[in-house]
Amino acid sequence: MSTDTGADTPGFGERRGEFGPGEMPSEYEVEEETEEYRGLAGRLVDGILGDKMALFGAVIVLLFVVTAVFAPYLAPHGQEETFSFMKEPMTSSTLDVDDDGQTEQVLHPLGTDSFGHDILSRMIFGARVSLLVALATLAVSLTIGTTIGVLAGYYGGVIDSLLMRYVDFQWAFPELILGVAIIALSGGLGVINVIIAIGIAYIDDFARIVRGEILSIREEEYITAARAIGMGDARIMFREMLPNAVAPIIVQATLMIPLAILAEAGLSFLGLGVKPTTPTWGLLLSDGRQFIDRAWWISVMPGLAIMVTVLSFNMFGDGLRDAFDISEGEVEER
Amino acid sequence: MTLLDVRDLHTQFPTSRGVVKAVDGVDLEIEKGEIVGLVGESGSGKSVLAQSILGIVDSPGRIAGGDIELDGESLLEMSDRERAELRGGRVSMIFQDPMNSLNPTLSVGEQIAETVRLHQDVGESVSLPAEIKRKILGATKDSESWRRAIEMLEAVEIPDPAGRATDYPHEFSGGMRQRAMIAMALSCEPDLLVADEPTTALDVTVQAQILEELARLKEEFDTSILLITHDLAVVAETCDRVNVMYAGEIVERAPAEELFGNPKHPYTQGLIASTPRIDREVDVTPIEGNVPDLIDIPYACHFAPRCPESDRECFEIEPPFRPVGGPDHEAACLKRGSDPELGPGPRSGDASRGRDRAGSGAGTEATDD
Repeated sequence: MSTDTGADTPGFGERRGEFGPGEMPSEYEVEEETEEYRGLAGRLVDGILGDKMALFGAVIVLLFVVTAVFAPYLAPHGQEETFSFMKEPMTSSTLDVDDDGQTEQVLHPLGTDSFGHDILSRMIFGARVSLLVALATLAVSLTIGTTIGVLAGYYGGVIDSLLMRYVDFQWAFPELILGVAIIALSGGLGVINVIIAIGIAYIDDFARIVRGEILSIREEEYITAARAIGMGDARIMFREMLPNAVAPIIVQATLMIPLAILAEAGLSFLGLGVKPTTPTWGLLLSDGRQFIDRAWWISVMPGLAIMVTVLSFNMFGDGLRDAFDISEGEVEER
Repeated sequence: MTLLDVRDLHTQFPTSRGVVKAVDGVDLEIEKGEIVGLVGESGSGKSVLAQSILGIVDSPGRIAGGDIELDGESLLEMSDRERAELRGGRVSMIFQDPMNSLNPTLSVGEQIAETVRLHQDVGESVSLPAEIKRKILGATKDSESWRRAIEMLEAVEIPDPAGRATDYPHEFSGGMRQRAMIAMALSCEPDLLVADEPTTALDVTVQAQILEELARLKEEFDTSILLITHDLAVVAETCDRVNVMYAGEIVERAPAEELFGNPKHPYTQGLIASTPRIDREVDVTPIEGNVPDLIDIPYACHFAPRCPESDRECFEIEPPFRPVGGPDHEAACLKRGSDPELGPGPRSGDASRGRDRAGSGAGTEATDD
């Protein structure tokens, strides 16, 4: 156990000026390299920028959102304006648009549908409905699903069993079938019904993810510490635990938006979605179905829009998930 | 004056294999303004005892018997709400692992401020909407609770407290986190601070600083401290009185100096003998065996199977607490106290045995028979 401290060994820093312990020639002195800490937002931005697929996704998503928000300014024509029927893409209708007695040429970049609506304009307005439905469904399923997950994970026992058996029950049905059933039960079409139907159908995904996350957070010492300083259950659940579970929730949310867009399009296609006159991508696609042999563009254009948007959201979501996953990021760097 | 009085406490965990008696009839007293040590091996029930005092025993654990009184008020008779108000206010706790005992998503200052808001009337609402509003508006920095948080960080000697308060736990070192944790625990000036292995996860230099800090803060805030540890050096350095716990029971209690100078219970003697010393060459003698499974220990003295001195009666007769040696020194061992001639301990010298008060043990304060 005895350490050998010989008499000629100088103490730390005692021989300053002659390079004893505690000093070294200046050329050997290196600035300590420390990796600059990046906040969560910074890390996410880096992750997205460094991932070409995710960046592509993010750009399209941004375009989609901008289009939806500024639809009335971006669309060349109103959503109810009619022109010549079933014009091919990049052709023009010739008619009197402004009632001045003379006819004008009106270009239709994506053609017109069987009612003579300009498809590009309808699709731009349709983006609005799609985004609105997607965000609103997200809000519904996220709120309810997260609450179920937090309660089940935190309390465990009977509450956990009851809530999760309900979630299992819901999981046993495909989302679209469940959506159709809910719309049938609620009776009547309309945006609100679609939102409720799709929103409820996706509760289970959030509930499962959040519950799993809460189960592991519950064992953390800072939760015991929070109890030890007298916090109540609600406070611990929503202020201490939930912020720590936010990463998987955000990722799940970005991955759910395209699912919601698809579900809305699917329901509309089946005729169970919004009112038939509302322009949505699903309805446009459905309308073109019967003319597919004569006017392919009526169905194909909204179909492409759905595909590109869903794909972009998925790529963006995947990029976000990778950016959030610190451990994986660290492994890649080494 | 007695601040905390734990009497015959039983905390049990029902499991599929049987009932685990983690705390099995413990008596513990803490006076005002005193640091009391609780030592024992891992698995001896120290932490469960602490959790029982705080009322945060994890489900399915429950307190099956006995009573805990704080200032003469029974904690076990309180409602959950009263209990929660007590925690962090009058009774507070710090934990073993400072790396994990602060919430990573809240700034350190915010966590301390929150404790202040919860327990002291600083005129700030603590409802969830109020907290969210506070978070969004960022109004926290001007508040009374934030000011208190900075004061507390200053009290535990964190440099640049106002600047560091906005930092998140990962930006703190281990020692600083434990300081922050202590600041949080002391922010409402509790009467009792339970420190569950506060220095175990820290390296020795930081450990010494934290212990000094605790002792200083005890004076400053007039707080009693229950210091739980398996580190005898920490106890010797800091505590006024020490309780030695083994397999859910307290086996010996004495003033710190008395305990280390004159350990009586074979378990305590074993513990001390198994501690390496730096100042002299001693053979480190480990205690053979392990802490028994706490499910239904059939024999009377829980230490008997590992005890070098045990005989048949140790397995059959519950050992009462008897005065041994110096003032306030008691041990629960049949081989100690009333009959000092029986069996020399592995390390207790003749000198220490000579100081036993022969025949003084009238079995007073016997608890478990």
